[in-house]
Amino acid sequence: MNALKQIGSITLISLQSLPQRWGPALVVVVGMTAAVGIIVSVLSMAVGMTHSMDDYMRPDRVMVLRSNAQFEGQSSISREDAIKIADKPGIKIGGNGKPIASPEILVGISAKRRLDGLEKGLSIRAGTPDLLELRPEFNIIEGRMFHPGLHEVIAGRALRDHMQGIDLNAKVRLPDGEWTIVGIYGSGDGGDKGEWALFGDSETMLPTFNFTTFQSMTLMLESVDSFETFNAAVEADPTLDVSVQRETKYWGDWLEPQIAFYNIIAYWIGGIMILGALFGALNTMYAAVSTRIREIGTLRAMGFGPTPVVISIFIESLLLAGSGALVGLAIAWTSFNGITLVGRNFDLLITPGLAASGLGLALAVGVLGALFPAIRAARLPVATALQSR
Amino acid sequence: MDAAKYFPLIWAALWRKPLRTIFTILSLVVAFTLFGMLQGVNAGMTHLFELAADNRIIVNPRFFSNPMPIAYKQKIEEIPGVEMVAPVAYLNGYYQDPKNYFFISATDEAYFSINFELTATQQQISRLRNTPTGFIANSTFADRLGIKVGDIVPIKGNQTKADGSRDWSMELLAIIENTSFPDGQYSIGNYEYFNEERGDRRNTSQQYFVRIEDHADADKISQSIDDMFANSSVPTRSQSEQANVQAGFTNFFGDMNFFVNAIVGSVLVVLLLLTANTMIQSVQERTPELAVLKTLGFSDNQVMILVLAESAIQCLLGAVVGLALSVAFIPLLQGALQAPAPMFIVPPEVLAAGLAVALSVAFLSAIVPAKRAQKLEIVDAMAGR
Repeated sequence: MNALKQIGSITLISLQSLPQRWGPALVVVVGMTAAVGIIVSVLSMAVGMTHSMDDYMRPDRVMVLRSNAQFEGQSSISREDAIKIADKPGIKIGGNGKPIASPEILVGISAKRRLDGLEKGLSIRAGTPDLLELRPEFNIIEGRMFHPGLHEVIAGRALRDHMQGIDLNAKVRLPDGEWTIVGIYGSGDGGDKGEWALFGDSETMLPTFNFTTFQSMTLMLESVDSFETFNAAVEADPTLDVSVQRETKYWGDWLEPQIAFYNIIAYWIGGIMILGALFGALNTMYAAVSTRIREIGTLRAMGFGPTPVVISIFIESLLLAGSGALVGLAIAWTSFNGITLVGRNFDLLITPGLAASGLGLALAVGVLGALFPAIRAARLPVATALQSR
Repeated sequence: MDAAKYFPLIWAALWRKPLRTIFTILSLVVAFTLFGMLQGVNAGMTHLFELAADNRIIVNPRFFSNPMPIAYKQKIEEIPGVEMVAPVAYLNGYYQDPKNYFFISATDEAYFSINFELTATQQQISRLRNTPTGFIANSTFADRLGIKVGDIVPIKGNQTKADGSRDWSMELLAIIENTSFPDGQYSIGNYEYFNEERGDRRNTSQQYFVRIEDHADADKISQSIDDMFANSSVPTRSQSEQANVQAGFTNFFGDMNFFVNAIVGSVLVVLLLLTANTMIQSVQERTPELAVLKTLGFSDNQVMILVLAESAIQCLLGAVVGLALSVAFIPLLQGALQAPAPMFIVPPEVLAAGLAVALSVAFLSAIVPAKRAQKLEIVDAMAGR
């Protein structure tokens, strides 16, 4: 009898006896469902948040802030400085023959969530009227672009979907009166951070908020490699006290601690749960070996080698752990994939990669859980096994 | 029934299959470590809400980047039920290196009466009032920057002065603490001085702190403030501190609470299944032994109690070790997340709840096998039926 056939028949026998041992088997399946489901759900926050930034931060777009400012609220850039910065080399020229540069202000208003009426801050970003040149990832999906000089803004799709009073042709109250939402824009494949804002023209909006200067500037580079040219020119200008960062750096620094937060939670809780699942698996597989001990002894006496017995134990453990993981993934996917959590401007995302790591983790636990029981089964002297009751 | 007398019997039964008992207890330890930590975080959040004062209203501009005129102070003071109002304008910048973030909340004396958790003495407050360039801070703030009382601290400000420079030089007058939030950072200076010196946004305040007579009026007074300025160029948004903290928390942690409960819930379900399975197996294997006990004169109820006690000892052992580990681990988690201290505690109620949960799990998982043991007919059991 060849080895493969032996493995096949022993595995079949052990799986057929599984319904009689459903209690311990269920412990592994349900334990793994919980562990994988929870780890994947928590990690889906980190994955979703990272994904929401994919199109929003580009290496060929730069952000200019006052040199000591850490974020836009602390920064200010005068109109004269804005003109000087836009004229530096390395900046892409737009359709109107001018550099693609956006002197911006970021202000907040509040609105209520559609879901539960909870009040939540949302941002208005005012910048260049040639927004689509600066942010080619944006596209107007309803209505039209805002016109500078008029009280007009456009709203992101995510904002419209989640906030009350944000709709095409709806009015938003700002300090100097009502502004009309004349368009809805989407960004990338949806759910992007870019969609969580209202955009308007900064020259028109400065007086609205009593601003005399801009806060920051966003510019499109000629290419990813033009950063050095532009940065050197800005640094060389003694009249400018500003710092230049790629968007990937500025937003990356902002993103990093938040991703770390989710990851720490996932690894702590997930690590502890995986440990628990491992103990459960060990318990079950030891029990499986000890309930099948006479059966294993008989098989060995009939001439089956120890290896097929060991492999059949591994297969059973992997099947139990794997099916638990699949149930966990299914629950996590149906309840969380594409969901937006309270207060978070991104959708949870369970990618194939994340699902695969969840499954991989479960299979690793399955292997570890089977290892010692399998060794025990393999080492068992046939005579002892046959005598046990 | 003398409990101590039966303990060796229960203990021996527990260790009949040492591996199974060890893995079951280890699973229990893991589950209760999670239970303690997660419920600790939940309790910590609730504790934070309780620390927030409800007789304090915070007034913010409705549009966040738009500071409010200083004239609002007097107008708010005139609202019935308002005791006092303190403006706050923020001087931001850095000390020596842009990484050493520096700020001063520029305000007036009323601030200390409104924020009663601050330990400033009357003497320190009048010293601050008489020293325009002075500020007082808590030790967390001062230690981070490595400054001490008496130091004149040169600050590169984000705000320009009226003369165009960005150099502010401030003297640290005293170290105070906040009894509710010792880990927070506090640095308080003079509004009047800051307002005179700054180049733009003069005579405005970024926030107002309002103390009211009766906390029951918080919503009503908040509404009056907002109504008063609704049609001005800078409308306001007022909330009691408690409501403010709660809203901020819901915004930031929102569904975290739901997540925590979902995790604890699913862990307990798995645990119940696991211990029930262990108990069923254990009783099944020992059927003949239990029959022997009955033959020796143990009553049906005594046998049932033996099984229940075995389950209880197992669960309590796991719970005690697990809860102890959660108390040991939670400062590590807090350190990893760099979170404020009150959020990470395992209060006694959580420990008590953990033990209660352990006993419930013990009872629920053992009741079916225990009933079986109770009803066992000696003849059948001996025959292995």
